[in-house]
Amino acid sequence: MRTPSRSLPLAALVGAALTLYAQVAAAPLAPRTLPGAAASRYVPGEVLVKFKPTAGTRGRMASTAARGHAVLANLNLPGWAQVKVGAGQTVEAALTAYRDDPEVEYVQPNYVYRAAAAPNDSQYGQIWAFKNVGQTVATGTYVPNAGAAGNDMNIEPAWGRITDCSSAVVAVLDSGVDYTHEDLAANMWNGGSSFPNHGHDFVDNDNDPMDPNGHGTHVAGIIGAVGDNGTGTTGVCQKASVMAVRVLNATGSGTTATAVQGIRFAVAHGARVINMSFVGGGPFDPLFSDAVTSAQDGDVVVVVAAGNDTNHVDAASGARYPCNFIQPNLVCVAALDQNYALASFSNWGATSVDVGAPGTNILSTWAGAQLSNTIDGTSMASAEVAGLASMLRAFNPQYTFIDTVNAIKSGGRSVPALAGRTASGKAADVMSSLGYINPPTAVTATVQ
Amino acid sequence: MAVLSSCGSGEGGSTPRPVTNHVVTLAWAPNHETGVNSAGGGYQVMISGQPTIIAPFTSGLTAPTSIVTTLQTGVYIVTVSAFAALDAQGGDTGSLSEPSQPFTLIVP
Repeated sequence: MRTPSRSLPLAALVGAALTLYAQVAAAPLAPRTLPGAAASRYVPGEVLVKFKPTAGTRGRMASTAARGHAVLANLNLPGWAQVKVGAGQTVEAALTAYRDDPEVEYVQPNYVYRAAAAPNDSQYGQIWAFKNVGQTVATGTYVPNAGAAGNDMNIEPAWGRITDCSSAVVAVLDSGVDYTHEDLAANMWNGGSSFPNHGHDFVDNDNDPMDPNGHGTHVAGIIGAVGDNGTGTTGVCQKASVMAVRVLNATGSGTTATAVQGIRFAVAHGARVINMSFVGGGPFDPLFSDAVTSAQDGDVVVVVAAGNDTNHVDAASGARYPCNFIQPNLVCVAALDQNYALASFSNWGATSVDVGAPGTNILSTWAGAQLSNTIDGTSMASAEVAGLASMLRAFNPQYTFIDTVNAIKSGGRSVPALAGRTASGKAADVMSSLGYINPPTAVTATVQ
Repeated sequence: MAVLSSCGSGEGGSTPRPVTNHVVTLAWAPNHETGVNSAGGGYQVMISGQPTIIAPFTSGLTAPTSIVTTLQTGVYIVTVSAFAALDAQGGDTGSLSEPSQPFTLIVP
């Protein structure tokens, strides 16, 4: 955890930039031989047909019926009909058939349009991690406090595909979460009657994981502050299920015992992702390591912070745990600044640190009346990646922990500042990870 | 019938092996990406010296995870890639995975 800086509510509102666009442009490098690549650009099994005026209603009906098609609607436009093609017929075949029909003036697919999904949250314009336009963060204290446009998590295109990660519960093991916060309450985990406060407190050993510090609430907001509600900030996941697991005390310190209990609680109660934005500099901690392994056994991704003491964690005596644990379900995250340089405080290590993510001048939710705060740290970078992990698992419900970790690491964006400083040399890139496809495995052959 | 010449030497006059056709089934583990297992997704199978075989998603829970083809006697390198309609820019121009680990197929 780094020193919090003062935060004031922003007066400037960021206008909702909800626009519609047709996704018809071909990417230059996209493989053009994929047979189904165009399929989801338009509605399967439908075409839009404009009949000539001479066709008349009877002519339209005859033309469509002869092909085994049906008119779904007439669109209130002269001559136009929305046509359902027959079972087993492709849109491409229907287009060809109608183009050859002398009664038809024009035919086209029923294209799919999607929202270009910038949310309307009042402080969204300050969240450079999601949309870096070179802005200065009004409440930021880290220098530089402005960077190059485009150095961000590339999340807006992903929000055109998914904003709801609530099917992939994220456990925030931290100082607690202000579960009453106006921008978090709706996105807290439903623990039923057993856990009415959305988690558990392993510091005070009770069912109230309220955050007396603020750090855990900040982390939770990065992962899953309610998005597009016209208020405050948004998380990586605009809709989420955040499980509050308090393992750090009011000053931000925890123990092996609280961390291990927190991990076991999260795994036992259905978390798919665990975020641990804390670090210790002691020797290898076998009990803590065993708990991470138990999360692996439970198919849970564990995302952790690299630490904030400008340390090479791969060096002798430089290890930081849990970052240096070697389980394959663990992702350790370094912090980047607004220029996508390694943050001055961030730890690094080409073996132990996996990826980078934004970690300076990060605005998010805060506990109590303050509502928001802007702070720096690999804690924030870890939370960005934990949100991404939840999004990936919600988007791909069959994803295992290894699929998810691969998509985060391999789908990232290469960043020069991370080359030789992290194992992947990449920064988290939400859209690229969402579009990432793992190579097929276990190819076998049978010859007869 | 065409024959493949033996590559052997010094084995005392090996007899050329006759070329025969064999039915070959190639299978792989299903990918877990939603895009692979929905409209616009599927797999493409590359067999050295052969046309690429496409196994598109058609219906159900997953795209096909096997294909059946006929190959002549010989040695082939096989890889499988998965594809989906979603691309890394957020559009629908399609994306293709890296190929699977190359697999050496010997057809007797």
